[in-house]
Amino acid sequence: MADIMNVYQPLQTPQQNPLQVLQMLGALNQAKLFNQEYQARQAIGNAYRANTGDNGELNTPGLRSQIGQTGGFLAGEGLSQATANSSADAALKSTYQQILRQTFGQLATKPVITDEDISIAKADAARQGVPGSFIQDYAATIPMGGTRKGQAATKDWAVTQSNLARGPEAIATPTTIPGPHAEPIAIPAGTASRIMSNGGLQTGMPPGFTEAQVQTGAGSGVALNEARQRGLNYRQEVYPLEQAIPALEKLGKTGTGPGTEEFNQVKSFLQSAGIPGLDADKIKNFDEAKKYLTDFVNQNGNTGTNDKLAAAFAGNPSVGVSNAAAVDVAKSALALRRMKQAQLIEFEKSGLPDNEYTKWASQWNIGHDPRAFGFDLMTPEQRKKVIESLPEGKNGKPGPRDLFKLQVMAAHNAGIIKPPGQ
Amino acid sequence: MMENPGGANSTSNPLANQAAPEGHGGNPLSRIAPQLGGQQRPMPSPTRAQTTAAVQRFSAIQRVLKPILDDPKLGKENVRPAVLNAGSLLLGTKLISLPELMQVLNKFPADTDPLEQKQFLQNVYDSAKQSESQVLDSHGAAVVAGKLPPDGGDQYDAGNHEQLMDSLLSHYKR
Repeated sequence: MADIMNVYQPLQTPQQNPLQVLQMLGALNQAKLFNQEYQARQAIGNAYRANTGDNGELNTPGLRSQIGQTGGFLAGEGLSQATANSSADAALKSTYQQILRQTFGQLATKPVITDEDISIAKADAARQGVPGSFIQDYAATIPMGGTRKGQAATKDWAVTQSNLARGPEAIATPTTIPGPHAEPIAIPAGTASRIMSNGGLQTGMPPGFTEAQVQTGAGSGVALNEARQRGLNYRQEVYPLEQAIPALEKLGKTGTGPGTEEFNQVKSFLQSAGIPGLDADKIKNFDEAKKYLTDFVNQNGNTGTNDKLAAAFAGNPSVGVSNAAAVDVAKSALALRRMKQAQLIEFEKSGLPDNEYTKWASQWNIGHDPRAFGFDLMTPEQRKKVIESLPEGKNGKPGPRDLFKLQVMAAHNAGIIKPPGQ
Repeated sequence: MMENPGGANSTSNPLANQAAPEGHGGNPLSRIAPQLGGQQRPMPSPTRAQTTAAVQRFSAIQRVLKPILDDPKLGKENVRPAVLNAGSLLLGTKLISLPELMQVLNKFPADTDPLEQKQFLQNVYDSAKQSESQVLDSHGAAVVAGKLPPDGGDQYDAGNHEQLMDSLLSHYKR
């Protein structure tokens, strides 16, 4: 008989080693710990990704906030690392800034800071390890130097950078600079930098200048002052001539001579034209007025270019200033007056000191064609002849013809001539 | 002048997309394991003179375009006259040639499409800025890597500007 006890034998659990249970529990805990750590690290990684901009810049407050909220039990470590990274980043940026201040601060010693100087400084900074985008952001703070005021602002900026690079203690240290009579004057080093970058103390004529420099500088100053004075009255000066020219052109077709109105208009121009010794009230007739107008052309241009100018307006290469019709002399005078005005405008933009005006102006004259300033006064046929008389560039490089067109465009953009075709 | 307007001509801009060089023959390993047969792209190493020439040019482009981009009329009115003025200023610097300028002006959007004009100018500006940054980085990296002497090489000479720009582009050939 079966042992009833064997049939209804109760279920037996398998024999378990307590150590194995512990090991299994340990493994479960390990897996749980691994998951928690994995998720925490992933959350920190996500926080970095979400708070890093396209330019690599880190949004540190956003990063810290996200790590704190999602970093789990690694939040503490994550925040600590974020702080360390942020500090290192700040230190690096501070180093970059110091390099840039030292590099660009050296520009303060230059009499004029050009775009070329700034480009060279950018390359210098790049060689010292400053990233290009950082250099660009820094250089964006440089004032525009296109005008005299802008150039002064740029110099001032460079001095500030130099002082910042040296630090507050260095710039407060007393130093001496030469005074107007070469005596030493004690002032803080930072102030000294600013004064010396602007040419030193300007209380009188600096000692050591040669007579020639003084005379050149003084001559430039007089010429520039005169040009500025006339520049103020430019529109009033040229207006009568602008009125006389179309009237004279019309007279040429009708065959009758210039009348009172044309005579008065030319006389009015001559009155303000600055011809030495001329008393315009004493001009008796139009022929005399034309003679003085011719004198004006001869005084304000060069012989070769003046004849080319008159020939361009006459449409005849044989015509020179001396035998040109009145209307063509008037056009030549107007073109030359406009050219002088353009010259003044460009000098004012150059940022150069006043004592360089004469030298700059003579070079500018060589590079500019007076016919560009009378282009709108020519007929289409005359314009075509002028353009075709100029050689074209070769191999894709600009030639005299391209440069002439550029001068016409520039004169138009400055409001000195009307656009061709009008 | 126009380094990468709108990305449409990116193949003609040797300075574009320097961050993503293509692998040789489509081998995905060539970028990370050139010794396995991929072609290693030579590192651009513009000299001091070349870098200065490039920076001058790109800075000048940004400088003339910035006032137009800051003008509230941009995108609403035709800005062709302002662009022509900017072009003439650039020509005056002699950092860009007339043929280059004419080539760009031919692509400038119509006067009746101010929005396209705005996009065009923004692309030109961004391209010039990016190119300037890239050249500066390349120059710095080349000095660190020993491909250039510590002083960066020859000094810039404005008289050779065009030749320097031509030689610079050889560093960025695809």
